[in-house]
Amino acid sequence: MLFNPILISLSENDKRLIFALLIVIILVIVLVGYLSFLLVKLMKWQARKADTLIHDVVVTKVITNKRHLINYGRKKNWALFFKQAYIPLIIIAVGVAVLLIRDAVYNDYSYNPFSVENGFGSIFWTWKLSDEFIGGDLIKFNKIVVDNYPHFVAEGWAGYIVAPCFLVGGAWYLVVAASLLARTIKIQVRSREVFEKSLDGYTQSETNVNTQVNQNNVDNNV
Amino acid sequence: MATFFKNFGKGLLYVVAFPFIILAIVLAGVVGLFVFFFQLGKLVYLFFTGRSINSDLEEDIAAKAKLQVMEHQQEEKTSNPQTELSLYPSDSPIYNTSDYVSPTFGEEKEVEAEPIEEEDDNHVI
Repeated sequence: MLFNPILISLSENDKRLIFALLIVIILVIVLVGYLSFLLVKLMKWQARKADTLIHDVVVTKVITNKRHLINYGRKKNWALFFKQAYIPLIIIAVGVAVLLIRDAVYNDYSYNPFSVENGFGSIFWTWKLSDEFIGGDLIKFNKIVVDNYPHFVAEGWAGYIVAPCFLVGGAWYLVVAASLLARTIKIQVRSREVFEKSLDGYTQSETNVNTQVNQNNVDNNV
Repeated sequence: MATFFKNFGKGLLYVVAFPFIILAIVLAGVVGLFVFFFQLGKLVYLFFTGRSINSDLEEDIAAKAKLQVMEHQQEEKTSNPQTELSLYPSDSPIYNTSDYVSPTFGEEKEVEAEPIEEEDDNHVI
């Protein structure tokens, strides 16, 4: 057989490479898992805020139907979203303004603020795949070599302002958007739960008997 | 060991769900942009009509008024607990009829005595 395991003999380099790959995969899974876990936590926390928004009108019975609660919840949710979103959007707008000014001054509208040569990327280590191969006879990979060492470039000044603005503003805005989504879902769920009429444990015959007993007591008292 | 596998399973679930969560958030972000500009327009309109985006809605005003009444009633109950002992509770099925007239003890009028007519024994007063 072509892929008989007995015939496949892994070299020491192959084993090392497989081990390293496994560690990288596990690390990525753990990181992504933690990030998802944090996002879900954030959304649950923001969903509880939706309860705070609609609590009073439900408890005081100012709102007595599902449609009204959804409309009211939407208004409150959007107002809160506006309050939360304007700071990250202003940060992004500042970034866009700086980028436009830079492009107008240099008359270059193809500038990438994240560029490694003359942008934000120049102050980070970056890596690339070389033409050399590493690994054993069975598994081979292109060797990864350092492409850029951290250094400042004078003409990348705009990138150092614009890219952090985009990154911080963008991440912040996504968090706010996740909160909006979480609150919207929670309001929908609550609008169904609050006005739900349940017949769990209800039997008409028992209720009639109780009513009859009460009526008898009333007659006796009179 | 069971907890470890439970957490591991949860982690895998989160990893699988991650792209969908991100997609949902990005979509919410796009919708959020429309919402933001709608709210911005509303803010401008409210500003020129002398109101604020933070001002209470009709429902909020009604809820606040009701909450104040409820708090007031609660305070009265705590300061004067006898009021809880109502002779004829309003929610009682016996006395909650529209034709019931509550007895008045304020004024006493003298009436002429009349002989009591005897009626059947079964008569219920």
